[in-house]
Amino acid sequence: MYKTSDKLTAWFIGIGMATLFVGGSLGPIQKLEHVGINLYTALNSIGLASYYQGLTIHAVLNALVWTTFFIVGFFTFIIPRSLEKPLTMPKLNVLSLIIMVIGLVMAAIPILLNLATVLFTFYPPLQANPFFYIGLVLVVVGSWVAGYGFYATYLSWRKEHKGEQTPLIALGSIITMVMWQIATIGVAVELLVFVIPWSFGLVAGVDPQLARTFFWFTGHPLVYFWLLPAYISWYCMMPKQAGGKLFSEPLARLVFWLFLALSVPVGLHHQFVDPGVPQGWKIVHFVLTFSLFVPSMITAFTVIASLEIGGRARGGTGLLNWVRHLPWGNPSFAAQNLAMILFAFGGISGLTNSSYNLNLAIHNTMWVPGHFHLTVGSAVTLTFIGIAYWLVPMLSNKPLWSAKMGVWQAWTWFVGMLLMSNALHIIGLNLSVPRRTMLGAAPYAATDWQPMLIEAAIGGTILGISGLLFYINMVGTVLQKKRLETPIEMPVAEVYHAEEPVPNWLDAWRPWIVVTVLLIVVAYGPVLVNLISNMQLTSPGFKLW
Amino acid sequence: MDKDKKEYKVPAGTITILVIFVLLIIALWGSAYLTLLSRGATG
Repeated sequence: MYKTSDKLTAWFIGIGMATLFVGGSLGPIQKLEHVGINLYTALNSIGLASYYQGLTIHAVLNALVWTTFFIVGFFTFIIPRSLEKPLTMPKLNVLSLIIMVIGLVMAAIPILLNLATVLFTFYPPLQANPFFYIGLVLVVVGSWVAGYGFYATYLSWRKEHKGEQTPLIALGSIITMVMWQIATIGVAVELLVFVIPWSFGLVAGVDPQLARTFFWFTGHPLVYFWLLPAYISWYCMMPKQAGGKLFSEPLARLVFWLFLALSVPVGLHHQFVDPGVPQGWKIVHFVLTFSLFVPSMITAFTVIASLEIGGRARGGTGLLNWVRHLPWGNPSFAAQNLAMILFAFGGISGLTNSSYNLNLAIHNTMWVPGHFHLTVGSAVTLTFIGIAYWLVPMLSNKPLWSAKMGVWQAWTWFVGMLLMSNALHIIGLNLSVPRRTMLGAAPYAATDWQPMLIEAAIGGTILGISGLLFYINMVGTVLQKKRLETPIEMPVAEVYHAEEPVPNWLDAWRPWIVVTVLLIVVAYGPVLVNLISNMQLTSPGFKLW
Repeated sequence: MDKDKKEYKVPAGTITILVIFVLLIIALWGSAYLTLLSRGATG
């Protein structure tokens, strides 16, 4: 029944993991460079031209490619199972894989040839080879096409199940894809209208301020495109793995709708120091960004309460003793629970980033990579790793090669990330150490940076070891001859208060889409009109490294 | 379900964890704010 979607999932996830391996390998090398151990000289012989080319590969492959491929693959697996029907138009999903792979290859070649060393945000006036941008566009378009395949399946399910409420896993997945399609309009306009013609030399210049604004229209909701699939696992799967039940389905549904409405109109909090953006609109986005605290805290409450049910069902008593009774020996659970703990700290530093005045203290400092390694590098990636610990055995019909190694991997990731992110936050806030900088070669590098940079390097190295453990386990799983004795099932949590009905407005698209569009128009309309009416396409392109 | 409800009614552990989390937010956000203030109004 799910043969096609399972095969597609394996391709998406396999390609995603391969890109994470390449991108992730460069992470520890960056941190070692900061303490004076420069491995880039050795890497010159295999074609790596600079620290900044390595940084671009690290960020583009990890943050854009690994995440997008894994998410599309994960949805290709869970949506049909959640709806209990195969993909209605599987050719669309096959097409999406083909488009995304072509885009990946097209973007990767210029990056590897040092023709696109423009970092993850590809801010103009840094200029890349046009095929880098076209490749990225194709990766995004491919993910849209995958979304169309999911919508077709979902609409067909709705026709067959009139009056029934959408299963939560499918609903959360479809909401994520809809949010993604709305959010990526920003980067589509930036690249197709301005940057690609400029990189081909068809227009003389670009307006960096306008381009950045379109980028962050997509850039912040991108964070929720990464996070919501992790939330689906935390809400709908982890409680089952812990022996618990989902504490409240209405709260879970509300959270996904709130993220649809609130993810996009918040991008200007990345541009608090941009002089060309009117201050009043920065404050509007600051307030809207803080409203995201509401679904985030609802998530913290509901997910922990769901796990508490499991911990108590497993014999835990007292106020907190149930935590010890959770299945910490299950690598899938351990990885995801540790990811959530790291995310709690990432949430706190995120609140600091989005505070209008506090942002001035940490903007463009090491604090920022400290923050996003707790979010995309932990909450998202460690959760996806945790999902892989049941998904890869299920897809390959082979048991996980070593559960013990999986638990070690999760804990080493946790310790490595704690060390690294703690150090990066501290040197960013207290010492204003700049990010995206080859610190080992910076003439202004101060000696009092060293203790924290050493801590970050130790943390980064432990993370590298953790990554290696993961890949050994995955390759060992797939290559072994042993087959599963009993088939694995996708974990789906029951609902604790299943007898309580879910209100219909939590399964209705129209009001939420209207609110989403209205909020975007109100928060972005005037500022974009202002920037477009004052745009000056004058800046030439620069290639620095 | 009735059995579940007898065993577990109020998620007291969860509420405790969230109270600790909120206190942590206040402490860490507050310390960053004090760092900002220590640099002076235009520092």
